[in-house]
Amino acid sequence: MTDSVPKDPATTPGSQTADTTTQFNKKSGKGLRHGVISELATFFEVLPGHEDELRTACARLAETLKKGSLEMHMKTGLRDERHVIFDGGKRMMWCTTFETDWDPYVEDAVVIIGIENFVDWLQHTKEWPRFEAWLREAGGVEALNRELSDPSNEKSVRANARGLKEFLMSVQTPAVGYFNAVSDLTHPEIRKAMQVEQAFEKVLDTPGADEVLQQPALKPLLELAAD
Amino acid sequence: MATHPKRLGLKMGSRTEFTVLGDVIPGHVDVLRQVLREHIDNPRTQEAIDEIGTLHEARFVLLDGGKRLLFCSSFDGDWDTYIDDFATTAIGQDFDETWGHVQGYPGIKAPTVKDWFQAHAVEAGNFVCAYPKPTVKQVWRALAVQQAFEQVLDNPAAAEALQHPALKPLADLAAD
Repeated sequence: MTDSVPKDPATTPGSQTADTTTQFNKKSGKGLRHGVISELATFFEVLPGHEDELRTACARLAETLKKGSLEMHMKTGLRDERHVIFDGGKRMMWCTTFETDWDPYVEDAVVIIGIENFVDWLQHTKEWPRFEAWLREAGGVEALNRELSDPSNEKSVRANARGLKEFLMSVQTPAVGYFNAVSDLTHPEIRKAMQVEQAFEKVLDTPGADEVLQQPALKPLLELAAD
Repeated sequence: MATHPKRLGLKMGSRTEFTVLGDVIPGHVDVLRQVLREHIDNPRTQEAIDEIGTLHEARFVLLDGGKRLLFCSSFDGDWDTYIDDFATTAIGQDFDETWGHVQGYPGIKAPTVKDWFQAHAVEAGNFVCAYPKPTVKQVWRALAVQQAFEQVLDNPAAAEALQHPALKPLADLAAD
């Protein structure tokens, strides 16, 4: 993987180390990527006395995401996310992985998830003033949501997310190593494969299927039936 | 079956998250960075991860100018089995070569290694997965079935066999 020919990190397959991808690229921003998946790890300082409120707000974001439809997750490209408060409640990591490109991933946080879900927890961090400065410049939560009520405004809202991207990169620490076991598949591809597998299990439960699968043309499936 | 104390880590669907932080031994960060780079490129590491078949994802982050190492992962099944699996494969060696640059790490085969990891673990406040149900092995199995089915579909001789009523669930998907 580490040869002398410079490669475009956005098109080079395989798990990666920070040494090859700390420079910004279209696919993963500043983070590493493995196959189609990119990582984003951001770090914040908790405002003194705000730990409990921060925990509660982060839980609200998690609930919003858990209630999100399958279609929403496939559109936003989110694979997983976690908030971890550490150092005795003084610091927090918010890390995610995603399969869309960096730009739409961040923009969809505003367009699809809703920026109010991020305001909710970011206001309890010391980084809030810088986030708030971007938000003010973008018109504020109500203006962003009002603008989005007319789909023709989506383009300008996405353009306004540029400051949000800069903010996220300013609190990001790219990983030095990242691995994903299903790095070659997107969420829709995983879903499709699971559907085929479920259909195959139904076939195996059907009387007479054993005999049909003995036909030479179905050999690839027969071999898996025994597993 | 052995019973274990409650382990830190939130669960969603088949997955459990694990986050651990340690202090890098002063002066070791460059070597540590190099070790991590070698591991991620090493086919032996990939083979061991495949052999274990329970690790969904993992990342290492160097914090505070390289003074601290953060590891976060998610995995299927029981935490003790997860660590035991590391100890019995090439990942154990990788772990020793990595965490050996962190203060106090006792070694993957040390009787105290699980206590050490738990003492340095921090449970997430929340953990969300977009597709929490399938295990790694279930996704791999689904992929193998899909590939086999595509092979069948590519074979003209299979067309008649797929008309059998017992194969209807698959034939319906082929029609999509």
